[in-house]
Amino acid sequence: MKEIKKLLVANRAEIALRIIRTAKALGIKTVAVFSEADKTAAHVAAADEAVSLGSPEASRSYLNIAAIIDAARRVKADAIHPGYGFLSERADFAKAVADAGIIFVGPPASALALAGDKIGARKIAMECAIPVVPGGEVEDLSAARALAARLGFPVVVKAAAGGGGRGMRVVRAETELEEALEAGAREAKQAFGDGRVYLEKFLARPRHVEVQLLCDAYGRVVVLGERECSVQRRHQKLIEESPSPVVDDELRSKMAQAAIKLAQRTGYVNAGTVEFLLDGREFYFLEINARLQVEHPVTELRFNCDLVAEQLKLAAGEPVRDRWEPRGHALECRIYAEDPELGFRPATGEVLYVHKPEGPGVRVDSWIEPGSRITPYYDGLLAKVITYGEDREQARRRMAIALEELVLAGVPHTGGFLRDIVLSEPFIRGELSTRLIDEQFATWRPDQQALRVALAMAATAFVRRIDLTQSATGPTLNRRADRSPWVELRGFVPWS
Amino acid sequence: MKIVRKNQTEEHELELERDQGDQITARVDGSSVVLTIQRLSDGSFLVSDGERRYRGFVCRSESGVEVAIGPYLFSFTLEQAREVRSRSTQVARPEIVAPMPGRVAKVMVAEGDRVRKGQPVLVLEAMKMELVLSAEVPGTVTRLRVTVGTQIEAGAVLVEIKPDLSTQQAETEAS
Repeated sequence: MKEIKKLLVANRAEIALRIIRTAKALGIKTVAVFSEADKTAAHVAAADEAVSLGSPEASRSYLNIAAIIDAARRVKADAIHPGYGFLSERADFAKAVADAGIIFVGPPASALALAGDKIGARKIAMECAIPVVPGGEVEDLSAARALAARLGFPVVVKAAAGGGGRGMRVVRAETELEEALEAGAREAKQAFGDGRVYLEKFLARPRHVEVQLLCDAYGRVVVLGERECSVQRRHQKLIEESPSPVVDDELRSKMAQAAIKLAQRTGYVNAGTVEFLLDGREFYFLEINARLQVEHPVTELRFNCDLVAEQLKLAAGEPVRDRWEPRGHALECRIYAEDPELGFRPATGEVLYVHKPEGPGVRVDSWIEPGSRITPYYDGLLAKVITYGEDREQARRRMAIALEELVLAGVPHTGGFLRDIVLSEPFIRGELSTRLIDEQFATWRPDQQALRVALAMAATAFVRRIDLTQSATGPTLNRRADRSPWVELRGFVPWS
Repeated sequence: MKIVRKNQTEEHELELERDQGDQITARVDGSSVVLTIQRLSDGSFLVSDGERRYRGFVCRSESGVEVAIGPYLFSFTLEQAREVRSRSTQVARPEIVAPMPGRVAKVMVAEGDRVRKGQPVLVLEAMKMELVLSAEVPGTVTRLRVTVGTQIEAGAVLVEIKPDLSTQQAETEAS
């Protein structure tokens, strides 16, 4: 057994902050790393020490393996937690960390390599007699045409090295195939440095259900239930919950057995997730996410545990705890800097005001505060609102209220959109699918009553002489003081 | 006054009828809205329309005002400001402008190329999505300001296009 005394967190934003908090509570010293864009970020302030990595571009900072290992050596960190995204699933990073004599809080490089190759992982699943969505690798356009014809349209183009929906394209007819292969390969190359793609049959309205695993170094695997993450846009999750409203004990046990088989077959250690598509009562292996998931708090609330603490114990060589009792229901909504009215286009800007929800059964994992800058360099996740209830309905009501409490200005975000989904009939009934947003919320508009109030407020603001012609044509207002609320207008605004 | 919501497709007719400080009456698209407003200690406000109460926030944006009403965020521009801006850009230099910050993933034209209206010109990649930008007018590419891999800010001019004279005149006359 090794002891972790000092942990370097190779990540940023809410997940870095969340990992730092757990480490501190375990008496572990913490080291943050940061790019120039994050000098004043919350995760930097929270850590015991912080090391600069350099330029804002991810490739030069949070993806810079040499700089991160160098930082860990300099501060004498004995472990590195990669968080999610960035380097978390890179076998070369895990190997470089291990070679430097530092504990990697995650699976061994060999398991990462197996999980990271989506085509290889599919083959392993088939060898374990776990169903996969029909499809396969395609070398060129003519092979793709032949396979697509056999599968029948629509088909999905996916990145072999992929994950998180990147490089993924739905193709409805043969005429779209060439463009989709090209775009998918380009996006995959850009995101993963590997342009290989494969084709899969497109399931019309599947659910996304995933199984949380904890695996120790002695071959033991425990399952911490499932999460349903069907509410997605661009094949990326927006709402997650545990348990799934439709998975019963029989199905749960089958999916758990499949996940355990895969973990054992890949030599998996630490926390991991096996993702499935669920179509009726048939489930298909999707991929292994060899890291802590964004949506892990849903499992934490349901199992009353701290998954990062478990990860640190497993990384230090402790055996996995074998008794886990679930209770109640947990939900998570992801607040992204995106405009739900413009096809979830990523937005940038500065947070000018934020009021975060609180209360019984409500947890908010976030990194933003007034002045936080949302830049194009990184993922736009601003906050995760997580609620717990004795049953799904209590968790859902708490979520609706929590999202009503959220106020955030300065950058478009998904808060209001998610509130409306949580209050919608299909969501209340648990009638979910990965197509829910596309099919039922594509033309979503904000609450009309709130819009009327906003319009009346805007009329007041315009009349009370905010000089808008100047701001529309004049110099860009980028100093925070210039843009903060009513600063120059305080004299005009007699609201008390 | 005429107010446009940020996606530029939704116009609203507004008039502030009475302003008594903490109570205002406005005509919003022909019907009356009475609001009671109370400033809160953190700079936000509590607003009631007689039926529901919201915590909200108002601030200036680059082109107008932004109003948060609970979790809903609205962005408004005055119609006159929008006209001034669109006229000055459309007639002078029809250019491809980045609607969002990101990275240039693909360039489909070269300087000197002729482009049709609606022809894809480049692909922008931001965070986890791709966006195809197309020519808004027919013309000739006079300057390519970016290459694959260039990081760009929202609003940056990416490609300059000299519009075909006849088409430009036709569009100017039509507007």
